[in-house]
Amino acid sequence: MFNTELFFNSVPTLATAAVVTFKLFVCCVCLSLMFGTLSVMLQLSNNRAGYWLSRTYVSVMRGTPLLVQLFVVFFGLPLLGIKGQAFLAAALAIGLNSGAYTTEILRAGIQNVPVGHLEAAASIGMSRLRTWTRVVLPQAFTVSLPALTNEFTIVLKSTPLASVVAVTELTYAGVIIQARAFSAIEVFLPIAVGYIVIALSFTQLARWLERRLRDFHT
Amino acid sequence: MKNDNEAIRAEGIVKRFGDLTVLRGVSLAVKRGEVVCIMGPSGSGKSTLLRCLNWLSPPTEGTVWLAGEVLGTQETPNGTRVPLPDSKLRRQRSRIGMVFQSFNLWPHRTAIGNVMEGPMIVSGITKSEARRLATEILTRVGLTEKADVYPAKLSGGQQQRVAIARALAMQPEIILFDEPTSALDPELVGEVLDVMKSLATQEITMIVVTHEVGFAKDAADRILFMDEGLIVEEGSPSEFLENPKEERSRQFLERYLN
Ligand SMILES: Nc1ncnc2c1ncn2[C@@H]1O[C@H](COP(=O)(O)OP(=O)(O)OP(=O)(O)O)[C@@H](O)[C@H]1O
Ligand SMILES: [Mg+2]
Repeated sequence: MFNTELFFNSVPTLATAAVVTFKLFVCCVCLSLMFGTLSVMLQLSNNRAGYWLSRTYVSVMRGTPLLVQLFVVFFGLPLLGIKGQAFLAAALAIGLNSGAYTTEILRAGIQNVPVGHLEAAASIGMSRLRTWTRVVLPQAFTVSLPALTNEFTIVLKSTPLASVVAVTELTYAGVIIQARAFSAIEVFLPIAVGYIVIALSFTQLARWLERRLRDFHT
Repeated sequence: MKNDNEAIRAEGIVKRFGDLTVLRGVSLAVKRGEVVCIMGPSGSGKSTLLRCLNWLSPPTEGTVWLAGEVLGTQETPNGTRVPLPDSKLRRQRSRIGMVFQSFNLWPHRTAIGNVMEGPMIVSGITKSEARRLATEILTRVGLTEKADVYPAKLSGGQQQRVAIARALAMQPEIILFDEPTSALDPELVGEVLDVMKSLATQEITMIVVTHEVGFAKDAADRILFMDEGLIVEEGSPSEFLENPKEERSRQFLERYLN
């Protein structure tokens, strides 16, 4: 039996929770890009300490469960004086975790940039930092876009993990309603649709970007 | 060492890669406005020499002066020479243009974007000023109507002309060309050489590694012939091309003149 009343009553709560999921997703993607970019720059910038810092970061993030990382961040933040910030902890943990994969994706993209492009930059007197931001990274991002899109759809599907630190995102909202109503299908069907809507909007955006950037690679 | 009329001078340039000695003590001096062509067989060290001259690959031994100023190193109070801080080296490099065999345009920027990049990012002029300057320079290389096109949509000859414009935009004191036409289809070589000839008549100092005998004859003031990491012969185009003194030069020219 499909309980239409339950279905319609859940919609407002789920819509609010979907907004939380969306915000969490956006934060995670931004943090992942930030950590990934920083880490790959450290790794490839001829600085030994930077290299090892970045390699260690990648190994730790790839070698431990995301759930454990989330707990470490969630219980670690209060030690730094930041209390009661479940959303921040979740965004930080997922962003840090994904940043390790972003590092590796960008590294492949960067190693694809011909040395000649760097020499051209050096020959006009461009600084190292500017060469990174104006020559290397724009090209690396373009080449890496399909792989990054893939990584970020995985990030979206990691966001329900935030429920373990009591962030009321889409999945957790569903669990709460379902526990009260003893009925699941009316709740989790719209939840699935919610994720698909976010994922599809994101991949469409990425494909649009890819098409625009492909202009100059063909 | 100071000579007001000198654009660049190199003395005793030695370059080693591990055990391999590629340059064995090269010296040269190029006057302002002079066009010097360098010829020589593959592997003789022509590219390596150019890369030493703009410190893209610092020489193992020897000194380069750019308008009388020592390149890449500075003297400490106790008399030893140490590498120049990066910011100063960059300022020196910006005074030496370089045009590569494989163009090396940045594919994510349009033709005009490539030309504007240096003035805007390195010299720090405003975007609108840079655009005006770049437009003017693209006109000089005959590419006004291709300003907003990405490199991938340009022919090799057009790409190389954009690369020349990119070097010109920094208003360098000298431009180094490393076989600028050898990656081009034969029918595209002419348009690039024409641009370079017009630069030669505009009193721009140029060192050109090339095997284009026609260009050397028309545009060069002097030809240097390199073999096995040394300049083995030097002369005016007519002297060198018609009456080479060295056996090695003669053999080389026989291959290229036919
Ligand atoms: N980075 C490097 N490491 C090791 N060896 C190098 C390096 N760059 C150049 N060489 C060697 O130096 C020698 C001279 O190379 P260079 O490119 O200067 O010659 P070239 O005269 O420009 O030749 P071509 O006409 O083929 O361009 C070659 O034997 C080359 O293998
Ligand atoms: Mg060469």
